[in-house]
Amino acid sequence: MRSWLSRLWHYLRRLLVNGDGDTPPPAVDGRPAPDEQIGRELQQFFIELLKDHNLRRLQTDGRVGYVEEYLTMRRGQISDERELTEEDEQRLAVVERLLNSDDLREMESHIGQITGSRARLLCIVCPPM
Amino acid sequence: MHRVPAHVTGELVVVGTGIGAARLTAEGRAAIEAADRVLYLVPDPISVHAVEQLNPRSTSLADCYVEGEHRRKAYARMVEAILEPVRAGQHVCAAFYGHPGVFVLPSHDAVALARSEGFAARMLPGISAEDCLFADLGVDPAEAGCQSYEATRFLERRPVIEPRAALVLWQVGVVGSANHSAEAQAPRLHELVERLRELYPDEHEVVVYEASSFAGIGPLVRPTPLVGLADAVTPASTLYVPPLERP
Repeated sequence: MRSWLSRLWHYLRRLLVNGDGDTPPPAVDGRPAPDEQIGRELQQFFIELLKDHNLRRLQTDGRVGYVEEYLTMRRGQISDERELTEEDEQRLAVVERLLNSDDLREMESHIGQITGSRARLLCIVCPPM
Repeated sequence: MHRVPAHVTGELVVVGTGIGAARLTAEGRAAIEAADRVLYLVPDPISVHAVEQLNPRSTSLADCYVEGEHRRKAYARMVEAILEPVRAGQHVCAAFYGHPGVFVLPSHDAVALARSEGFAARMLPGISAEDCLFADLGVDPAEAGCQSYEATRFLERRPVIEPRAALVLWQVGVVGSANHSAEAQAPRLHELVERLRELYPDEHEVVVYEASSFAGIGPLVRPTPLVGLADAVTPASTLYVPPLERP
């Protein structure tokens, strides 16, 4: 149900932004438009990374190997819940590209789209004067 | 002033969560876990998850900000939110991202106020953006010395700068902005560039730097000649100006 609603929301959002449900949002600065679902995938990756000995595995296995193994596991998780869609594959491909890059700006832009978070991306704690 | 009844045992520990959830120290982690209440302010949802996993009695201070309002009002609200459970006798942990004592006002104010009211209060260090900068850029402040200023104060107070030592300017992405805004605004960025051009040659290479909050992911490092600085600054960046003469 949640997935169906999520797809409907994304379809409507694309329609509102572009007037065409099949056209993705425009790229900004050569990067894909910020996407909450990608942000949530990234969030989940980094939360998993904090568990057990995953940080150590990242360092010993190397980033590419660790990310590949994680995404294989993630595809399995999604498949256990429902059919893996083309949209899932595209999203995970973006996640894989980002996790193997150091593109902090693009990662932050996707994570910044996560709604309902109690984080504040620009929480400055020092007054200017 | 609030007076502490003899039987009240509230206390305050202020910790830094570091830059990114993976950089929380063992000591900070223990303080979060042990607290009756945790009040936290972190910039990314991974750190939110980490803090709330360590202690479910955690509340974000993010709501203290009001769009368009001077940030000092938000800091006053944070201090009150932190002190309230202390006054009620609870062991409170206030967790701020980075180092809680480095370029953080409400943490120092909360400790000072708690102590002035007779409560035990202490601060535990965390990993600051500047600590990450030294590691990521491979520079050691011992080599030539290091001057560190908040960008707007640097403009306002015009401190005497030693160009043969390194200069670190914090909050260049919001220079000149006193109000809270979800979107970064740097109304005095060009003025900052002009001030630096009075001190350094146009071609002097500076580094726009942003520590990574994400474990395993590298930082943002943008070397740029001073004259091109305005185009390279990002909302959360810190500026590193290398010494004019290498030691």
